[in-house]
Amino acid sequence: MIGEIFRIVWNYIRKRRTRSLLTIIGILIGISAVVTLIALGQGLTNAVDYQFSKLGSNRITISPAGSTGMPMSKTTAQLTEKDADTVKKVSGVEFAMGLYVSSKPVSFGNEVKQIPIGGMDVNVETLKYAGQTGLYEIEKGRNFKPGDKYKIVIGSKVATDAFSRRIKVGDMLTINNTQFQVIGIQKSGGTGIMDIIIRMPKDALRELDGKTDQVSMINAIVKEGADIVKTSDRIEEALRNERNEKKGEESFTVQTTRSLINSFLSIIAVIQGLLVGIAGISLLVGAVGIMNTMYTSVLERTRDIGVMKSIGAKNHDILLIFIIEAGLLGLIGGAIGVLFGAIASTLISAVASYYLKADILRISISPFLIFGPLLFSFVIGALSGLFPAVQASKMKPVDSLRYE
Amino acid sequence: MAKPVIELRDVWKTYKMGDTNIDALRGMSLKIYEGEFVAIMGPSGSGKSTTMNMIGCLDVPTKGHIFLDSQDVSHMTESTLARIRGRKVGFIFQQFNLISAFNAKENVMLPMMFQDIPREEQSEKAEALLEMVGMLKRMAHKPSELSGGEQQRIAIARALANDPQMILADEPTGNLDSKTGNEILALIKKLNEVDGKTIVLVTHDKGLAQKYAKRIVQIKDGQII
Ligand SMILES: Nc1ncnc2c1ncn2[C@@H]1O[C@H](COP(=O)(O)OP(=O)(O)O)[C@@H](O)[C@H]1O
Ligand SMILES: [Mg+2]
Repeated sequence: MIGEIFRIVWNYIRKRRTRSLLTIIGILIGISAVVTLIALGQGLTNAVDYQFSKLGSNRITISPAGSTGMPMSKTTAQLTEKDADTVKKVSGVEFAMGLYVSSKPVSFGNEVKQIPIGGMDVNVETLKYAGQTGLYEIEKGRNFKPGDKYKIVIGSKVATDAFSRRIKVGDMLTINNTQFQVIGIQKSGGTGIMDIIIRMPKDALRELDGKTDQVSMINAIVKEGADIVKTSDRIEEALRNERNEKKGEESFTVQTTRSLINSFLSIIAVIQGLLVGIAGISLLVGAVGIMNTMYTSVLERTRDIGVMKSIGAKNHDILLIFIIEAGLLGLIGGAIGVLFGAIASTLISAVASYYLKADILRISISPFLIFGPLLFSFVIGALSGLFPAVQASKMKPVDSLRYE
Repeated sequence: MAKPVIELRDVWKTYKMGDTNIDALRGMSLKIYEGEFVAIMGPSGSGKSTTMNMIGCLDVPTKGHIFLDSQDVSHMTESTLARIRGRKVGFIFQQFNLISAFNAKENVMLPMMFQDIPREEQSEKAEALLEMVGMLKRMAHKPSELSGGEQQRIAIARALANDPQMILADEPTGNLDSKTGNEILALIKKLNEVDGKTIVLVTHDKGLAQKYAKRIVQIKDGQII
């Protein structure tokens, strides 16, 4: 029967060519917009993913739980040099170093300011890998070399803004009654954190502090070719074992650049969701168009309905005819819409990469993006046709046959 | 002539139009036997079409009983009635009532579509019936491209699609000139005489009724007189 119903419906759609076409356009616009926006959003996501992965996302940061990753935020949980050694031994880890940060009163001239101080090892190995992270580049003066002790490298903001007088390379600062010589000024950039801290050899900082082996955070670099996510999982497990903690109750967090990308991607997803939602409204308009067309058709075909019933059509046959007709109008609109959407998004990405000279959109039309909207448009159509169809199926044959 | 094909026993049909009730049938009783050719005559508004609707199971009576092949059909559900109509009754209307979106052949196939008859069989049967009514050449034409007489021939073919035992023709010649009307009635008479179909014909025209029908039933104010 369903095959027969499709034949009947197809005759009616062809008979009312112009109106069918206008109804189809209503759905077509909505589906094209939705498909275009999803394809573009997907393309943007792909491109971001690709760019980040090219950037060499090989850094893992371990910080005490509850801290935001900011070295100076206060938490009860603590990491130690022992943790840093544990991380160093995890397979997939090329190198790891503990950073120790502590806030101290710093005096320059006759002013005293509280400034966060980061302590790092100044042995050959650490300096080599610190150089690879790109976080420690020098603007003026020089970086640490092995053997440095009462020397400091200051952030660019510390140099210009912390004291009323600008600090220059070679100046002396007093920290906890100890004199330190400024050997370099850090290049500004990155997250901005490096701009507002003072770096000194870890040994010197520990001397000032008297604290034992606490570290504020651990930076690890992943071996070339190693999977960063798996490595970070292994780090988590190793630290858990070493610190005797249960899964889910860790007193530390392990973050990768991957998690950074993911939070970036989730922002894209939210924006995309909003845009698709707005495009969805035009689909609603299309659905109302189908409903309107179907109500008109039911009225126009009142006599046909009576005739069909008189020659043996059951109520549910009539119901199916109108629902499938509405669904088919939606489906045709959806099919053309998917095609238009695919073409539009491909064109937009071509134009964008031509003018921006970069692959900012990597469009790929997945089967999901084809069949999803097709199914959706059929269902939207069928639902819009539901009420008119129920009305048609309930008509009494004698009344519809008398209808002029 | 043992049992009637159809029997109306004290049938009342009341239509509600707002506050007023219209009694279209007032205790109508009628028996029609297999192979009969009955003409129903009466003034306009006397209940002829309503009677036809009762015979053809298009509607149920307000009061009274209708027996089709000795089976009481007066309280059946719409879908059961639809199945009975599709298999046992063929309707021919004054306005032809072909579906304008379909061509002649598709119109004849339509009753078979609702009975789930295989596509091949539908097609063969439709062409044979169109041949029989002399419309095979017109099978690809839409109703709007055909004359009234041609449309009515196709309607006859459609009425025969599921081999019903009974053909109900409600003023089939009302919209035709007398020559074409005679041709149509001759065709219907052939169905009665050659194929043994039971025919119920509603007509205004006493001459036509006497010429083609074997029995004439007069109706007035919803009753047989
Ligand atoms: N579906 C209906 N709704 C309301 N009134 C109807 C309906 N069908 C018939 N009638 C009324 O019932 C009476 C008989 O109608 P009908 O059987 O069509 O008469 P005829 O066919 O003899 O001209 C008329 O008064 C008509 O207006
Ligand atoms: Mg009438």
